[in-house]
Amino acid sequence: MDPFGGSIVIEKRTSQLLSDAGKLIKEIENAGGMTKAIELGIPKIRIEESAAIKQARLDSGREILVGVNAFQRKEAETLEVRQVDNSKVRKSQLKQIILLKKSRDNTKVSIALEDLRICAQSKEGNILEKAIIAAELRATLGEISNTLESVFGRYEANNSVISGVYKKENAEDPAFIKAKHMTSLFLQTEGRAPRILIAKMGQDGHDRGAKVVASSFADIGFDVDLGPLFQTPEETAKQAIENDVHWIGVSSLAAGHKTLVPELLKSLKNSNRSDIQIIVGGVVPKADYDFLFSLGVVAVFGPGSPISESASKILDLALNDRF
Amino acid sequence: MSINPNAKSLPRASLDVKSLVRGIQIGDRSMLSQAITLVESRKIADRAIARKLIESLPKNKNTSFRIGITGNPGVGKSTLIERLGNIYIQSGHRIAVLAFDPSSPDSGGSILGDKTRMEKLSKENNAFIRPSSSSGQLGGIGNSTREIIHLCESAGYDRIIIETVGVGQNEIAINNFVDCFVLMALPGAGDEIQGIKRGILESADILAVNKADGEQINLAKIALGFLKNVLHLFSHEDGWLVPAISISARENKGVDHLLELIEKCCRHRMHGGYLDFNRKKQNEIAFDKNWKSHIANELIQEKHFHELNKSLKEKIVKGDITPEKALDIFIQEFREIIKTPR
Repeated sequence: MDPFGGSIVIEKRTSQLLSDAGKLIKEIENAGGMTKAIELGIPKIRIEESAAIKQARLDSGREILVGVNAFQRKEAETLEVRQVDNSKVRKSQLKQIILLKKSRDNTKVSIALEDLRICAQSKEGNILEKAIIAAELRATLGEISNTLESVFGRYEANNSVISGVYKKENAEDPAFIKAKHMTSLFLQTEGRAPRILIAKMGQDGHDRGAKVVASSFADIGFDVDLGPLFQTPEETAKQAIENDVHWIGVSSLAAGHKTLVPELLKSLKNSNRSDIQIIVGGVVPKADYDFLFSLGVVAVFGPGSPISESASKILDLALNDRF
Repeated sequence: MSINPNAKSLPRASLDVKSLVRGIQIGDRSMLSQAITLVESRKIADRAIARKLIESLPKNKNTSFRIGITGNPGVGKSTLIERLGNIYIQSGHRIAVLAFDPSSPDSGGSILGDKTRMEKLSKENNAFIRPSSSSGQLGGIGNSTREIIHLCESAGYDRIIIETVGVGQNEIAINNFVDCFVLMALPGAGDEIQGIKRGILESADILAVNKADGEQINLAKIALGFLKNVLHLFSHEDGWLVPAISISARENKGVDHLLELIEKCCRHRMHGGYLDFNRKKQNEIAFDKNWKSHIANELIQEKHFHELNKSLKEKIVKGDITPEKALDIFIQEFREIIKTPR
């Protein structure tokens, strides 16, 4: 039985869904199929676009999400989180790799890897089969993928960033207008636009949130530098220093903050740029806030932080003694 | 959203000219970067310090080459620079990349994402990459570009690559800063190539058709043929014959050839004395271009004109006066000021 059958609202929605999905499918077909579309970065940009729209609507309250922008928890949540010492894990993993390389038959491994390389280059034979042979001889995943990389090169993601979406959705939102006003105030007092580097450090490939923040901050009037994925703290510091940013916004969704943030601070200090302030965004357990604050992190923006308000807050703080 | 209760406000810049000069000369990345911020600053007080800084640095000895890379969005400029830069570094050069992104004229902000596309180069110790927003300036390239080049050269960078987005008239402005200007185009015939304005084609020193890979190889050949046809109509006054080549920055094909051509062009100009002549000519153009924007900037920061400007704009929006009338009032006021005896 279909209790909603014939309902005008439902019929309208389903037909809307059908035609909107059709548009997306057509876009992909016009690009020459899904593989081409991925190369062109089309699906990624569409996802980021809709994420930015959603964020803008939640921020302005035009869309309600219970627990995020309505009926939020009154008392602070205190979840017990298992603590993992990343550097300790890394050390023990490295030790294991060294042990592994000592215990296996390295001549056989090299032959298997060379076989794999020849197979990839000649395009004759089954790459997966050769890879399994190498793996059975205890070649590491890194060795196998490096071998393939030497033939095929590395995939470079098309890294475009949308712009104007947050602004368009939020043009009338008082918080957005206030944040924009603050950026122009900043420009007047400091002689340049507020500049922030949004960084993704470590093994953390979740960059959708970082990109939504980057795009929205640019709409608000920030100059936004966007770092590549998988940066080391030293590389992030180098980029921040070369671009002379006011802040680094560290986006952390893979629990790397407790190791990566201290390393970043150390790198900045080594270059005498401890004045560059650090903001952490993403998924950070409440219990870690005080630890990050004790290091000197200026603010932590967890899930559900409205972007315009967050921007105003850090600008307000930055210019605290200027007026 | 949680704010650190002990967070302090941003410290004010407190660098003196002397330590900046010393820092730049010993190649301190952080000092160079802060010096660039200083010359880019729109604050009038910073202008004076910036000028003092530039004057305190030794004069350039024309031992560097300045290379401009321009093309429409998506043509592959950053990918090309990543490749070129890495070859330069391997042969012992030090590279500074100055990338100019268009800023949104409305919000004033912009995404400066170039390093996401210059991943390898950005990690190199001998590379300095600095994206700047062009802050709404015509020409797509900042007024302070010349000074930034000077700073980078003083810090020991001997190949300066300037990247600009080609939108409308902006490509031509890059010609006022560089020794060799590479214009990038995409494969295709007719419309796409003709979309490049004639004036830009004429001022380019090297034409590179990028993305000559995969299914586009034949299209690239067509584009190249078309460009070569047009090119024989142009010649540069220093006798440089403009070459057109096809490359694939993504697959790293033809990039070394392009680099050879760039070096050849710069050396050709250096030996003919044209490089030096050209830079002096560029200085003249810079003065001519800059005094206008600087006077406007100076004027609008003055309280009286700031308010007049604001009230006129309000009246225009309300429909009380026409923009022409407002301009008349503004200019009349300006004339009064410059007539006042000092």
